[in-house]
Amino acid sequence: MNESKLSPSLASRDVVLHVWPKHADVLSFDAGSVAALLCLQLALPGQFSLSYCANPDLSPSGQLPLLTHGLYHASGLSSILAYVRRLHYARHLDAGLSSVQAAQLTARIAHVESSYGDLVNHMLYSLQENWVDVTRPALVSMLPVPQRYYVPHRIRASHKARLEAVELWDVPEEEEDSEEPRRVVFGRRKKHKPEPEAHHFKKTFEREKVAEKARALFDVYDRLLGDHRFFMGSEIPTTLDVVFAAHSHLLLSLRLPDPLVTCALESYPRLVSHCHAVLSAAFPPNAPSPPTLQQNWLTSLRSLIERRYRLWRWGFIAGSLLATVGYLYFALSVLLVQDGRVLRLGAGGGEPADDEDEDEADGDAGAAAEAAGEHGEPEDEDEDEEAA
Amino acid sequence: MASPLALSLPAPLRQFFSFFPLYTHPPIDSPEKARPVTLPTLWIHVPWSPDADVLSSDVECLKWQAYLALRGLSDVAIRWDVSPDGALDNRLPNLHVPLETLPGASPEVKEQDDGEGELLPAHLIPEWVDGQVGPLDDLEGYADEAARDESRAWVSLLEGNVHAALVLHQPSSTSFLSLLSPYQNKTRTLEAVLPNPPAPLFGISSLLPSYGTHVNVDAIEQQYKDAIASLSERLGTDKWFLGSSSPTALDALVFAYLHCILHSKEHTLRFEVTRRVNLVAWERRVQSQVRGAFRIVEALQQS
Repeated sequence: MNESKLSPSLASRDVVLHVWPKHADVLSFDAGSVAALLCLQLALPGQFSLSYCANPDLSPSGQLPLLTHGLYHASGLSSILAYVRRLHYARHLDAGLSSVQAAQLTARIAHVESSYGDLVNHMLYSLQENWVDVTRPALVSMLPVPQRYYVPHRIRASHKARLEAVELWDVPEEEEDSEEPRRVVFGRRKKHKPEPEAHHFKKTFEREKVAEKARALFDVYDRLLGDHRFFMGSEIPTTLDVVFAAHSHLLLSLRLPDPLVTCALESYPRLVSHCHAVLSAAFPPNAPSPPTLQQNWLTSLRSLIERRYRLWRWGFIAGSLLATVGYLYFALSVLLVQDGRVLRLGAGGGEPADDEDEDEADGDAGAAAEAAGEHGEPEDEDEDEEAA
Repeated sequence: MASPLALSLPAPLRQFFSFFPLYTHPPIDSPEKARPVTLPTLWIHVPWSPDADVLSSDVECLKWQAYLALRGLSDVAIRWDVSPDGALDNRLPNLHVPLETLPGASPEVKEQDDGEGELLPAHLIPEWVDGQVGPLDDLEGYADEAARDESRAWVSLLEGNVHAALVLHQPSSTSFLSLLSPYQNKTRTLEAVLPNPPAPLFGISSLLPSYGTHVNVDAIEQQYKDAIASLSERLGTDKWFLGSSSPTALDALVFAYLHCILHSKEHTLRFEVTRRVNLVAWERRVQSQVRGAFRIVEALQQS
């Protein structure tokens, strides 16, 4: 329970779920966010509000989804599920399971989150065609102007460590049609190299490995589902149903140009209908969708709180600019005055103080001053000799 | 010496080269010679107490030790004087086997064995063991197909949530010399273990380049506690996990993690397991079985 880390601008009395924004037909662009949304919709229907935000730095742990309730916050899917389970007025999704089944549920949720999550991330972030055609434009459309140039690449790079460890990174794409337009633009500078046979076999072999992994996972859960509507024969969707359906929803609703894992999923019709069943249980046809908080009041609230700091900041910049201008003005005017005196010196009458002033004249202000000084000095010496 | 058609150096060049003579020194005999490999030898990280124990302090090595022991092998030698840089793919454990035990070797190769043996990386150990004690059936030793499917889930729970907690609380000893050395230990970092990539230290949209990870320690500890609770619940009073009649790969994995947790320096990790009596008793029973399969063997002989 970390109440001190949350900024007061995010505090409100109701339960607010902050998720990645929608894109095309998906409820949210991240599997964890979709799972959190489905879970809240089933456990607290009509008692929470939704906020789409594309800035994961608003969350104290740096990751979305984020749930705020008053000053309490829960960041990450597992924390949100644990918090909802503890709320006394929420519907308990796993109520009908025995203790052994609940223990098995924890393990199966971890399995789905790691294996199925890796496959979904591989589809979105590793396959080049999907990244260029769907994922990157989606992220760019969600982010504001300075972030949209560097944050999508950072998000992609952050998935690299995990996907490399499970050997799901850097699988080549289906065809290289995406490179054709570039070749035309460059003219005849790039020659079309025919692909060597070994490279082609390696590509297909690696794609087959990924498809094998996906089919092994779907076999396990197809057998677990059997002919029931939800896993373990439950009447309402359990937490495992919610997490599994969230990943399936992302794959089935995003129309990805390279459907490597989606094809494997669509060959299991029971799993596809399971996904639709969970979604229709969470969003019944005549129920209202959760209210969406707009971002505008957040930004205006922030500006109210931070107006004092903004005044100080701009005041400091204006003050320093004023000081610079004033300094330059007075420096130049002193030199101009010296020039005036020097000019008068050149006309007649010498004073030793003026000699010193001429000697101390700045180099840049006065090539003129020095020239006038040089003229003045021999005449002064003459006058001194005459005086003596 | 040379045939009349061979090229020979012209005389001025030969004279020039005579200023730089080539000396050939006799071979230097080292006082230590490697003992020929007669027993399968497992290369592991050093145990917690090297004098009294054969079980490694590293989870990966211990997993494979337990696997070998629970598959029914006995009289396997152990050595821990090999640095991870000398192992295949920079990762211990490796198994050093005499050539005659290799399942795929032809008879001529087996005859030519001069004691050097073959070094196997960790992922080839199950295949070698199948060659020794016979292959596993389709169910891999589990009671039925549902148990086999469930074992996949438990494996990913252990290697995800529990391993993340272990990695988080591992004392990372990075001395100055280890930063300078060109050989890096390829241990699994936290980013490779967590399913969702953690945010960089200053946030993903900061103008500073990404550095470090901002780890959600509370969430990892909470998931670890749930994992241990569900593990204890599932074990109940069974002899082997998931009601199997004989030990399986999942038992080896669970034993390795429990043993490492019970020996870790971190109080919160240890307390979760020591609270659960059935886990502690199970681990103690399996420990004696695993320990009996190994013995320490002096790998170098003084000549």
